[in-house]
Amino acid sequence: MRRTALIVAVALALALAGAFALGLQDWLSQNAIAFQRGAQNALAGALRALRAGQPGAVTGFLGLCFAHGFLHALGPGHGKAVIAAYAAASSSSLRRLIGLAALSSLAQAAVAVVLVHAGVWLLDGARDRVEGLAGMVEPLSFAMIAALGLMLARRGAGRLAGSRAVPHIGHDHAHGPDCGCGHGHVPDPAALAKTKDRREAAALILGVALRPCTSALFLLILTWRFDLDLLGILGAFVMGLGTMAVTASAGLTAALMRRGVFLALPDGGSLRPVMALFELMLGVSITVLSGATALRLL
Amino acid sequence: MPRALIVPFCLALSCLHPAQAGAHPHEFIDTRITFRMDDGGRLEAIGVVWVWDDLTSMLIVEDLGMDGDGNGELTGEEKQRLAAQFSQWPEDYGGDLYLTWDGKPVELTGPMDMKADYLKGRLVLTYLRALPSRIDLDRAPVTLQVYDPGYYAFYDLAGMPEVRGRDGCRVSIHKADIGAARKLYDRLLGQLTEEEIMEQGKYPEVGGAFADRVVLECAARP
Repeated sequence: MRRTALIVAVALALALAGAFALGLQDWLSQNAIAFQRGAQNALAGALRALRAGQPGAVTGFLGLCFAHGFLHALGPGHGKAVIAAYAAASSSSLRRLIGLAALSSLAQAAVAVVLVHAGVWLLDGARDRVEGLAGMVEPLSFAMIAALGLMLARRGAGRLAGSRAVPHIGHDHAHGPDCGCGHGHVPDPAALAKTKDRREAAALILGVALRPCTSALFLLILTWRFDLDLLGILGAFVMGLGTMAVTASAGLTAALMRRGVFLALPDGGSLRPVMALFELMLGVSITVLSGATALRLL
Repeated sequence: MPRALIVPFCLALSCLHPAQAGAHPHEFIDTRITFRMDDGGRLEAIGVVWVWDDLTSMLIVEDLGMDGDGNGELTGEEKQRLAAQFSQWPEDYGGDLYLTWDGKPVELTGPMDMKADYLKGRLVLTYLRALPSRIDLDRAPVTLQVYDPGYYAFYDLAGMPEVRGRDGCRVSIHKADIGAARKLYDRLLGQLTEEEIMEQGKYPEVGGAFADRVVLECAARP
């Protein structure tokens, strides 16, 4: 009885969170034009103040960069959905999720910096070509996320196969390489899990990082032109901190929800195949969607 | 499983990001329109003023290597160069100005009498677009929209469009329904095949759905 109440409560909370997220996204896209324009005007003002060497310009600029990254990450995209999805599907620790969010957001800023400065050196700073360069990198990001999806799918499939293996009665033969009794002979599972985790982490970080924010690109180009490159680079990373605040929260929320669901649902081995199946489906859908987008953008 | 719904939805969101990014303008241009009539009371030209937002103006000016001292002013020579630069429109560029009269699109010439200015950090372009075949507004009203079909630039009508050269005309502005436009964008995007987007470079042509409609009607003359 209490369990049912818990399940209902969690389901309601999820529905509310979903509705809230949807509502917020909707409201944001309705007002996206006004927001974007306001944000751009503010950035232009800050850059002008920097160029003129006005007192307090640096602090104002950095504060604006943080706000920019934060508010932009609240809108669609910017990796928070990927991290939330990953948090929901995998059993990563909260600390690990925060680390992933931090690394991916900061890597995103780093990619923007590299793109602009590569553009400056190789393409003589032509803005449209830098944007073109960013566009070329974008399919890679989706390829990364597709790879992540594949890894999750494989893990789910593996768990599904493993959980289906019924305990043998009369398991009395020696285990050789051609055993074929339905379970794999793998090296130390803990170490294996660790490598897989690292690969997943890499795919996730790269997937998010290879999609830099256009505002960051604009900011970096302009500060370079004004001989304020280092400040621009700092600004881009501060923007990354703002983004990180949102993506980390998204990941944490998803992870806590996952734990909440686990606690609420009944115990028993019956749950494991369902979770494994879910992980498999999730992995497949990530792969298909991202792979398709990657191909589309190529 | 309630959770099974949220996560795929999040995924769909994250994977639609490039499409969302496309439906997200980065240039903001305030637009002022003037309808110019000839002696016979027919519409002969449209006067256009474009004022770019702060950040885009900064980017454009810096791209062209102007305003080197950063004092927010351009020399006369720089302004002339700007005007010349912006007068060269590529073949397939429609000038982001769309007129309809009597159910048909109205042909417009390229930009004429182009003047560029740089005021308070914002780039200002003033020019004319003439009508090769002038239209008689007694027969039917004319509808005008300013939009970028690719929705990278967003045009905002600043103030009521003016009418010069004829009395008794009325201008009305019909605001765009942004929510419906957004839904249309998503729907059209879903209808395009991978090939169409990838190879033919097609995109949901909904720029018009996001733009306000200006209608000019003139009272029939006796």
